[in-house]
Amino acid sequence: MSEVNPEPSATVVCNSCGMALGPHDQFCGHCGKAVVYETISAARQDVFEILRPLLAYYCITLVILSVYKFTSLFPDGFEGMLLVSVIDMAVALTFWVLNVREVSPLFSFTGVRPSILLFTIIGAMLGGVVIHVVAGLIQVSISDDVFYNPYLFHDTAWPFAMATLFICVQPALFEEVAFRGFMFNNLQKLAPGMTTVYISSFIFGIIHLAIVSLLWLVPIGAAFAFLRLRYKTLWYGVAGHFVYNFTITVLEFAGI
Amino acid sequence: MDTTPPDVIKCENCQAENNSATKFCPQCSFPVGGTEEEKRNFRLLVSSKKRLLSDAQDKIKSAKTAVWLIAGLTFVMGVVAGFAQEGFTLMIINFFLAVVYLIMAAWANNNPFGAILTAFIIYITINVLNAFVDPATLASGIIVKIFIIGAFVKGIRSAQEAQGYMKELEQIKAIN
Repeated sequence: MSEVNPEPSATVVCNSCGMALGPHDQFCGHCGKAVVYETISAARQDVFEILRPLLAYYCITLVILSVYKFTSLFPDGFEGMLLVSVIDMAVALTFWVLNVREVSPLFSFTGVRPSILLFTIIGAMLGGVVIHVVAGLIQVSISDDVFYNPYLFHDTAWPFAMATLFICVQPALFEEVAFRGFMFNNLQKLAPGMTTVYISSFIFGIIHLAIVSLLWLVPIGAAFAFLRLRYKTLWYGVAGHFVYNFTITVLEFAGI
Repeated sequence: MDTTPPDVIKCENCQAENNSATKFCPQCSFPVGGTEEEKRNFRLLVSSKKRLLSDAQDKIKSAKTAVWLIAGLTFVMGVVAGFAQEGFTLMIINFFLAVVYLIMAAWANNNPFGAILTAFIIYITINVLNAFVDPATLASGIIVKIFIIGAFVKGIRSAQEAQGYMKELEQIKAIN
């Protein structure tokens, strides 16, 4: 709730009828109109109308990933992965362009603090190591977490470079733009900041289509979403996401 | 500051003391200096908003019940899977999912919008995945599914509306 009147000494007049108002008035005594106009424009619109971009992006992605995972429509191995990645990127890019006015400010470098960036990178690295160990203990393959299996890249000319590109660079950019970018903005129109953090991190976790991985995907998503909420930039999330996925990829390639 | 002017009247809606010359109470917009009809209209407005709020809260309650129901059904499916041969993984998945729904049901008590929306998305996801694994699952229990999705959609909408009604009632000091 915003403050009623900023300066008690200043003469405030009613927006509707122009009569003078008392310092603590919330309504005009003359015409009965509210002095503070709550920004309830969003509440007046239908919820599902506001949520449409979020639900559309989510459902399209869900269907694409399900087709990839559960049908044999896509070719096997690297080619199938490449194809699904390109489609996925095209979808994310479309939504990015459609919401460019809201997403672009999140890529501004002004205000990005090296100390927080360093903290995020170290945290993501430690998180990657811990989760790799935990996932190994409960025998969940890395494919559950980053969606693609590193073995997909073994037949390519540069397996490690390809894995880095498709497991680390691509998700770091496009997942952040989606889950901490336009979907986050979408939810923020309807819910307070922390609620947006929780919802977006659950959605981020569940779209990975690996149930046990929710145990760490939701907290990771929440951490990036919190950084996005607090500092209004995507750079910490992009950097953290890249480092986290890269750490796990390195460990996987090293056979640890 | 104890020189209270003699022409002070108390607002019957919010008890604020006002100059009798004011037509509307500056604290809650009650027409203190208005006609009986204007006063009645104010009370009607309050009661209609309260009714809308309680309707919305009923729908939120239905959606909460739906989340509990899914949690229970998922748990039962886990138990069933556990008895089947090689159903251990499916059992674990269902138990895990049941816990996620229980978390949502609990969260719905202090954040209906967030919890019901999240549960809705998880529910849709699980149904889409099941349909891809075995298309026959799409038709099974279709009536229950439609009921659950309907309850979710209304619950999400009502959770948002309830917040608006609550804010409006708070603003006109008509809610405790």
